[in-house]
Amino acid sequence: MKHKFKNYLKLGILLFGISITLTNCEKDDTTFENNTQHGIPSDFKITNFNSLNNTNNSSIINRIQGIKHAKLNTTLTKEVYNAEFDFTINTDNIKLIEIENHQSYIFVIERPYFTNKTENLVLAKQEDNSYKTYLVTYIFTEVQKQQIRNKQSILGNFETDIQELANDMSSDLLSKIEYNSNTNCWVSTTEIHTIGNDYWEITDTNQCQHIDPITGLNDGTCDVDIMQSVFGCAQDISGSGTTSDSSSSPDGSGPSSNTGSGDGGGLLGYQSNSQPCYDKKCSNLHITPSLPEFEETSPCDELKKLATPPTILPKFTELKNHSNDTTPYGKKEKGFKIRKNPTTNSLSAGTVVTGSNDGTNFGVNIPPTPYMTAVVHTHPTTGSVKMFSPQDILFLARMANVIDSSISTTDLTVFLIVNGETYAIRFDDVSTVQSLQVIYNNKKKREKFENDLERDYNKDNNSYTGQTSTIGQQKQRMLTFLNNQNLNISMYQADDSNGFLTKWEKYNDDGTKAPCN
Amino acid sequence: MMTEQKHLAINIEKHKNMKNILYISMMLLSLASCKAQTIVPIFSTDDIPNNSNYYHKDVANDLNKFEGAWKYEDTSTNTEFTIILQKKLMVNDNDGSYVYDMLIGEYFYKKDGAIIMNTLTNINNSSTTGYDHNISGSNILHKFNTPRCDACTAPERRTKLIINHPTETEIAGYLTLRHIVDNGIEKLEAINTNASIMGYTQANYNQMPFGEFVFIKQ
Repeated sequence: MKHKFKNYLKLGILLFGISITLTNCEKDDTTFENNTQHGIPSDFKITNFNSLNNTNNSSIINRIQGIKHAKLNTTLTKEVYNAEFDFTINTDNIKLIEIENHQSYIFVIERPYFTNKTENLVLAKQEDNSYKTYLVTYIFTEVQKQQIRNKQSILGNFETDIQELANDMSSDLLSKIEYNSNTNCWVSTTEIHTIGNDYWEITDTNQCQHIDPITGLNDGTCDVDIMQSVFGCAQDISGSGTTSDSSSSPDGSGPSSNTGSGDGGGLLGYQSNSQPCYDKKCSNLHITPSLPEFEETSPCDELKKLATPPTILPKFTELKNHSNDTTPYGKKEKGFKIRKNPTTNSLSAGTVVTGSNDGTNFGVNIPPTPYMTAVVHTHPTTGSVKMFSPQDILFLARMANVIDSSISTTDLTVFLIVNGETYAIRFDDVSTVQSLQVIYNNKKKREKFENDLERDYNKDNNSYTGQTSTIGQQKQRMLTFLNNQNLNISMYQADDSNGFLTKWEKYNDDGTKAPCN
Repeated sequence: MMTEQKHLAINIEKHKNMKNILYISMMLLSLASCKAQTIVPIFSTDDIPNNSNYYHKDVANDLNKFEGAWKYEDTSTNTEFTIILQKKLMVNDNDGSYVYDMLIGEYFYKKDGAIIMNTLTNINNSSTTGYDHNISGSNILHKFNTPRCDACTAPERRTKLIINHPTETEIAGYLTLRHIVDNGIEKLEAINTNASIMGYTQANYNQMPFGEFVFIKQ
C-alpha cells in the first residue's frame, strides 16, 4: 500500500514537472489584467509582454531599436542601453495600457548605479498614430513596491514626475509642471538640467530651489533662469493625485511635459481623480508604475548600491588613488562614512577625512552614527596589516550597537581599499551580528579577539628571510580566523574589469572567490 | 496473562538496553576525560583550534623576562611611564576556547607633571583577570614582525601586548616590548602604536602614552 502511494507520488511529481515545463515553453506569454475599480473604465486593460517582438508593434520595436541604434555602443540580449541618458531599457518586462483607442507602452528603466527611484520609459500613442516618449519617475516606499507587485492599491503618498523626452532623445529635458500639494496648484517650470543628477523643486512661496538628490536638502536657490507660472489649481482633489493638460497652459506656450506629484489610492498606481489621466486632456498619456520583476538583493548588489551612486563613487575613486600612494602621505589612512536617509532610503557620503600620522598613528577616526550604514577607509600598502584589522571587524559590531532600528544590521558594511583593490565585509546573518556584539561588548573577549587575529597576521612573516605577509596570505588568515570563531562574516572584492565597483565577488572559506552579481 | 508476560519481557529487554547505553556512555566519558591537552607553543605559526583541548603554552619561557616593574622617566618634561607585568599560566576563559599563558599588567602615566593614568593598584585585584587588565596579551614577535626591529637577531623574540585606556576601552595601543641588557641593566625597548576602534573621543585618545620609550627594570 505504502509502495503504491510512493509510486503515485512520483508519478504526480513527474506530471507536475512536465506541466510546468510545458507552461514555460508556451509561446504566447501575454497576460491580461482587467480593471473595473477606482473609477477606471471597464475597457481599460493592461497586457504584459516579455519581449519586444511579442508586442507585434513595428512602431514600438523600431522606436526602441532606434533609441539603441542612435545612441548606443552596447547591445544586450534583452536590454537596450542608452549611453546618453545612462540608462538601460528592459525589454523583457513590457506593459501595454489600452483605453478606448489610446495606447501606452511602459518599459522599466535601469540605471548603472543605485537610485531610490523607479523609472519607466513610456511610449504614448498619439492621435496621428505617432508616439511620444516620456520618462516617468516614481519614488515608492518598499511597502508600496510590494503592494504594486501584489497588484494591490498603493497606499500613502508617492512622488511622480513625468517628463517628455525629445523625439530624437538628444536634447535635455524641456520643461515640467509640478504639483504643490499645499496649495493644490500646478506650477509650470521651464528649465534645463541633466537627468539623474539634480532636480528642482518649487517651494510653497513659488520659489525655485535646488535640492541635493542624496540628502534631500536645499543647497541653494536656483542659479539659472527659470520660467514659471501658476498653471492651474485643482478644483476637486479627492485624496488622489492629478495630472493636467499641457495644452491649457495660460501663456499658450505650454510645457511639453506633465508632472504629477500625487498620491496613490488607485489600482496599480493609476492616477484616478477628478481629472483622470485616461481623459484625452492628458495628451494621450496613460501610466501605471512598472517595477523590475526582480529586485536585486544579493550582498554584492547591495555593495554596488552602496558604492556607485554618483555622489559617492568619486570618493571611492579618491581613496583608491590614495591607496596607491607610496609616499609618506600615503601612509595616512583616509576614510568616509555612508549614511542612509531613513525616509527616502537615499545614500549620502560624509566628508573624506585623513589620519593624522603622528609617528605611531596613521588611522582615521570615524565615529558610528545611527544612520551610518557603511564606512570606507584605506590601509597603506606598506603597512603591516593590509587586510581588515581586528578593529575593522569589530567596528561592524560597534556600528550595530548604535544603528537605528530602521536599518538592518546585516546591511552594515566596512569597506577597505588597499593597493588599489576594494574589499568589503558584511554580516551573513543576524545571529552573527549578536555574536560579534557579545565579543565587542566584553573587554576580555574583545582583546583576545584582537590579540589572536593580530598574531595570525604575523605568522607569515619570516624571521630569517625578512619576507612579510602578503595581502593574499592575510586574506586567507582572516577567513580562517573568522571560520574558527564561528562568525559568518563574508568578505567581498570588487571586480573592476568592467567598471569601477559595479561587479563584486564573494570569497569562499578556502580563499577562492566567485562572482555574486 | 500472556500479555503481562510479554510486557514483562519487553521491560527486562529495555532495562538491559538502558544498562548497556549507560556503560557505553561512561566508557566514552572516561575516554574523553583521559584525552591529553595538545600543547601549542606561543611562538608557533600553527593555527590554534578554538577549543579547550589546546594549550597555548609559553614553552620556552619567553614571557618571563618581561615580568616585573619597569619605569620610563624623562625629567626634562616631568614625564613618567611605569608598567608592572606578571605572567599568568593556563588562563582559562571557561568559554570552550583554548587555554593560554599570558602577561597581564597595569600602568602609571604622568605627563608634564600631571598624573594622567594610574591603574597600578589593579594588578593584585583578584576580580580582574586575564584580558580585563589594562595591559594584556601573549603575542610573540620576531625581527621582521611589525614594528620591525632591525637591531634584533633572527631568533630573538619580542612580545606585543594590548594596552588600553582604563575608562574608554575602545582606545588602545599595541605595546611592543623588546628585552635587552644594557651594561648589566635590564631594559625594555617599547613602542606603543594606536590600536583603537574607530569612534573614540580625541581628548581621551590624547591621554594615552603613544610613542617610543625605554623602560628600566625597578
